[in-house]
Amino acid sequence: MFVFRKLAEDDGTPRVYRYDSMTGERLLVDPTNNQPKPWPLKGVTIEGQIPRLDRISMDFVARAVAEGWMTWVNHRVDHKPGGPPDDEWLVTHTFHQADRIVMHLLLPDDSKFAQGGPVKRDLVYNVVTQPGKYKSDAKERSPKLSAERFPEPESETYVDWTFQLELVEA
Amino acid sequence: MANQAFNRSLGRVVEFAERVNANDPANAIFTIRVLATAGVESDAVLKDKDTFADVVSGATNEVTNSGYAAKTLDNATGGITVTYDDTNDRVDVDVPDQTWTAVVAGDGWQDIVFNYDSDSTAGTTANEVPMTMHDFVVTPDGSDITAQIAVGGFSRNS
Repeated sequence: MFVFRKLAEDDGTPRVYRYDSMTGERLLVDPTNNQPKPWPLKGVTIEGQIPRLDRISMDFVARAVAEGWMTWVNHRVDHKPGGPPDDEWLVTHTFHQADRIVMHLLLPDDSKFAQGGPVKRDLVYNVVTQPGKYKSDAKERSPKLSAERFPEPESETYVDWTFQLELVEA
Repeated sequence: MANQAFNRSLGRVVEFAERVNANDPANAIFTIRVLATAGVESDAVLKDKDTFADVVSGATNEVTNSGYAAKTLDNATGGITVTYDDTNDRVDVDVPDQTWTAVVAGDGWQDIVFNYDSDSTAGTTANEVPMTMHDFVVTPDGSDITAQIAVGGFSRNS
C-alpha cells in the first residue's frame, strides 16, 4: 500500500481556515480575499518502506500525472463495453494504460555523498497488470478472505481499476 | 440522503487505513457494501449504527442482485492509498473505483458503505465497523455499475 506525503513550503504569507458552506470541508484560504490557497508544494515523499510490488488506483496516478509528480511511459487509452447484453456499448469503460510509471519524489539521500536531508529521486515502476476488464477466471483472490463471507460475484468478467506495479530501479 | 461518516468512525478512518496497511491485526481489510433503496432508514438513524450488522438490522437491507457481492480491499491487492497533504493540512484516504459487472435487475441501489473489518478470515458483518456512507442511486439493468471515487478519496480528513 502506498502512503504518500505532500511536503509544504512556507512562503511566509498567512493562511486561515474556512469551511465550505455546502460540504463542511475545511479549506486553507488567503485571509485577504478568502480564496483557497494551499501552501506551495515542496515535493512528494513516500512514508515508510518503498513498496516493491503493489497496486495503486488508476485515477490516483492520473491525478498525480496532472499534478506533475508522476509520469507514465508509453501511455495509451483502452475502451471496453460495460452495457447490458442487448446494448453492450451503452456503458463504456475507459482505462489509462502504460508500460511504466515514474514517480518524481523527495527521498532520503542514501548515496555515499549524502549531506543530510531529502534529495530528488525518481522511482521507476514496471506495470505488471494494467487497468482493464478481464475474464473472472484470471482474477487474483486474496488469501486473506474467507470464501464463506466473501463469495465471488456471479459474473464472467471483472473490472480492475488499478495498476499493479513492480519497482525496477531507484 | 447525504454523504456522512458514521459516529463510531469519526476521526478514525486514517487509523483504520494504517491498520490495513500494517496488516495489524492480521487480515484487516476494508469492505464496500451497497444498501437497497427499499426500506432504507434515514441518515440520522444509520449514522448511529456501530457495525454493518447493525446497519441492516432494521428495515435497511444490503442489496441481493445477481452480480453483486461485497468488495474487499486489503493491503496487497486493494490499491488503498493514504496521502498526508501538508500543503492543505489534511489526509486523504483513496481507493480505486469499484465496478460490479453485469448486475441483474432486482433491488434498487441507494447508498454505498465503506467498512473496516479487523479479521477477514473469520467473523461476520458484526465485526465490520462502518466508516462512511455515500449516495449511490442506481437502477441495475444488466450493465456494469461503477462507483467512482471522489478526487479526495472516499474520506478526506482535516
